[in-house]
Amino acid sequence: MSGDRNKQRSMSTLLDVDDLRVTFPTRTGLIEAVRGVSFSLGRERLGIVGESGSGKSQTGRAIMGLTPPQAEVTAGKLAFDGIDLLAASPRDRRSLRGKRIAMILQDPKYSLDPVMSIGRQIVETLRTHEKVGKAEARDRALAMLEAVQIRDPTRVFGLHPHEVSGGMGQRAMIAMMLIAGPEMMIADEPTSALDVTVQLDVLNILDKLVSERGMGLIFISHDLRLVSSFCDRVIVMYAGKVVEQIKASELRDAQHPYTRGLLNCMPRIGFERHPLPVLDRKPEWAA
Amino acid sequence: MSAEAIQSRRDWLLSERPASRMQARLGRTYVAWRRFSANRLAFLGLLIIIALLVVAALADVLAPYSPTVGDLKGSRLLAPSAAHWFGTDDLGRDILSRVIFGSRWTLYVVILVAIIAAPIGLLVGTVAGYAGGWVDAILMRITDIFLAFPKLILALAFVAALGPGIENAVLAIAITSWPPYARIARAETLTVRNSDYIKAVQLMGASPFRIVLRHIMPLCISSLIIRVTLDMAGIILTAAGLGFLGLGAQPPLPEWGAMIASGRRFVLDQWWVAGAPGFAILIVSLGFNLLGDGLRDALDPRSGDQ
Amino acid sequence: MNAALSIDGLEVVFDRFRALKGVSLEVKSGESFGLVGESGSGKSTLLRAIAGLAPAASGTIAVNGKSLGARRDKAFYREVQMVFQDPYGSLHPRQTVDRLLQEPLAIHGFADGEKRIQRALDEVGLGTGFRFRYSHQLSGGQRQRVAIARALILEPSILLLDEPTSALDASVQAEVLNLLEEIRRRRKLTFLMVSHDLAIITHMCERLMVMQNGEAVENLTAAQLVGHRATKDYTRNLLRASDGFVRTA
Repeated sequence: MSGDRNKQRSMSTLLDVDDLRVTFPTRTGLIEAVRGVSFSLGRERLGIVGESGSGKSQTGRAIMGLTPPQAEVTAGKLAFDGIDLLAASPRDRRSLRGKRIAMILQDPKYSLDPVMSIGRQIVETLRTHEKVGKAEARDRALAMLEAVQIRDPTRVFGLHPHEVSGGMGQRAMIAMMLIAGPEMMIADEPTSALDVTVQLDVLNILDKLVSERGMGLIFISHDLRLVSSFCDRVIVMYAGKVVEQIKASELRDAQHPYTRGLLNCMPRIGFERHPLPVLDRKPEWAA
Repeated sequence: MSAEAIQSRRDWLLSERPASRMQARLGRTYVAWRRFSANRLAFLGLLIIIALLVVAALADVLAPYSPTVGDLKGSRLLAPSAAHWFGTDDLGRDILSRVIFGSRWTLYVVILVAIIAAPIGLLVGTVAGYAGGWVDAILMRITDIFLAFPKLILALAFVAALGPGIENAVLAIAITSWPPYARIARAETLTVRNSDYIKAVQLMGASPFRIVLRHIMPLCISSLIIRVTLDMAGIILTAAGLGFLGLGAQPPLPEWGAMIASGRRFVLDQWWVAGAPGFAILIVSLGFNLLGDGLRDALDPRSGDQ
Repeated sequence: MNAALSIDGLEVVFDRFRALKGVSLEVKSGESFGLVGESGSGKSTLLRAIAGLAPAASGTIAVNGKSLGARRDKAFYREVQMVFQDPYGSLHPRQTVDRLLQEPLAIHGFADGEKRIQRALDEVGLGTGFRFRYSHQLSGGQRQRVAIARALILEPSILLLDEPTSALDASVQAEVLNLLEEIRRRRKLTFLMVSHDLAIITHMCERLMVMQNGEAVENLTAAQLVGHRATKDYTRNLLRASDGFVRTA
């Protein structure tokens, strides 16, 4: 079965990243946030895991084209469905964003427009990407809200972002991102601001949407255990580089000491270890 | 000094691991200075202010003539020439010398106003912001009363009550210029009073007085310095305005505003009489404004504590 | 009586919103006690009410058998100290580590400041190299170590920990948790620790209380929780959620 799956993946590579680099100029010189990251994504769930400063978020942003203007993005190849993203005009990239590639950020409060009702934001998003009538847009927005398991879509449709809870806001955000039917989604710590039980609800929704619609998902997170329970494949990043790519099911047999250390250092219920093993960072990991 | 010595000194200042209190403080100052001096206009502003200080300090040496005694017989209202660079006024006094001595009065006004108004504003604002409740309500309503009147009108009223003269003008300007500082300090205090680091000091058992004085005030000071510097131009102009209206400096004091006032009678024929002090006011105001802008970039706590 | 902390019927009300609805709790001297719950459960409010940062509407709080009034005195702060969640927000941005650590000593009039600062920095594993840094020159883990040093410098017997590692990377979290355990052992401290993460609480604490909507759901020992002997559905749900994502086919 895994052979089948691999074949299918290679047949429909959505995103191809080769030697991606993101460089920030600072007062004291250049800082390379991402240093030669390569991977490809099919219609699957790919996790990117790393600690703060590992470059995981900058990788996601570079793919989205949301890197701050002062930074420089270079790559041997950065292609989405055969389209060279680095050569594409800003206008083309804008239309790709939202229409075919979507992104979810950690805190819906910062990504939703505070003065517009949730329903209107979803409708507007849909109408910028597709020519549809008002009534149809409304129907589709309501259907989308239902799809992210919001119980009373008509009520939530009229609410403003500050009137809903964090979990509800994140669902609304997902609804807005998915309304145009993107083929690929980048989720940057989509559940880190949520309570554990809500977190699982949101992951369930994402999971269903990905498998039903055949989307490719890049799930960026600091939480190796959560990612490994959710994704098919995991990329572990350290200091701007990929230190290990591994199937989530084989994470127990991870080779790289950083991956193993990261897995080991978290307290686990039912496994008493005092003191907790700590990471002994080796300079050669970053080399 | 050799290049290596300079480099090692710079490394010492920028060290990530300062070895003493002194080194930490100097390093911080150096970083602010680098940010400031990278801004050319701000640097120009600083040069103007330094020039003003030098001129004021060396007025006796620099001024070619007496600022108050003129030659009524031979040199009334002379046009600018080699002997009198800025010409002379209606009493035959050399205008260059008067402008040079006038810089002292300008500095006197500006410094006194800053020394009186800024601390009052800082104290009122931080206490109101930190205490909250009725203390805040009372202090801020008083502030509002002062803010309700245009600054110059209020200053005029105070001077009219206190009597004309440069000391009273300074007092009047100081009394009318603290309310905006109180507002700024209060706003700044409100943003930090609920932060964890203030909570942490409360948990040390610190008294409210200590918290305001040692933990909140230092955070308000940089935005206050910026605002005061930017206000300097306004203070000079208000002082000049009062002088112009005859309520500030009294003759024969060479105060720039009063000089413009006396020169306005012949501004069409002898433009230099009002023009020279006017130009001086312009340059110094510009200097303070540029300096203030530069300080805003260098000191702004929000622009990252790098 | 060896209760370090006993709380009875504590209520906290903010603008008519009841954040705590009559919570009772007893922490023995030398014990490590955990408070678990999701956002809005009132677990942090409880901690802040003990510290005097949130007003108690009714109920009593007693520290080492001594009942507390509305105002905390200086002696209280030498008994009870707190470590905050966000290491980026809990250190004054314009003060060096040295200055931060000196402040409590100055307030309480300690004479041997120099020695105490040195010792506190050593104890949390920061050498003298960090003493004159500003907080922006420190990493998140280093900041949290400084915050712990500041809490310890008055030699309290009770430490309130408000999600002390939730803003840190996993590897740094392990270091800070180890440090806290070691300090507790060495100084025989009493911990009251708040976290949303059951794994951290079971790792750090002997007993715990699960909270929801300002009320206690149940009291458990860590062993009971690990052995899946929770009696309430809410606790079981939390426990299941902390296992990670499980795909429902």
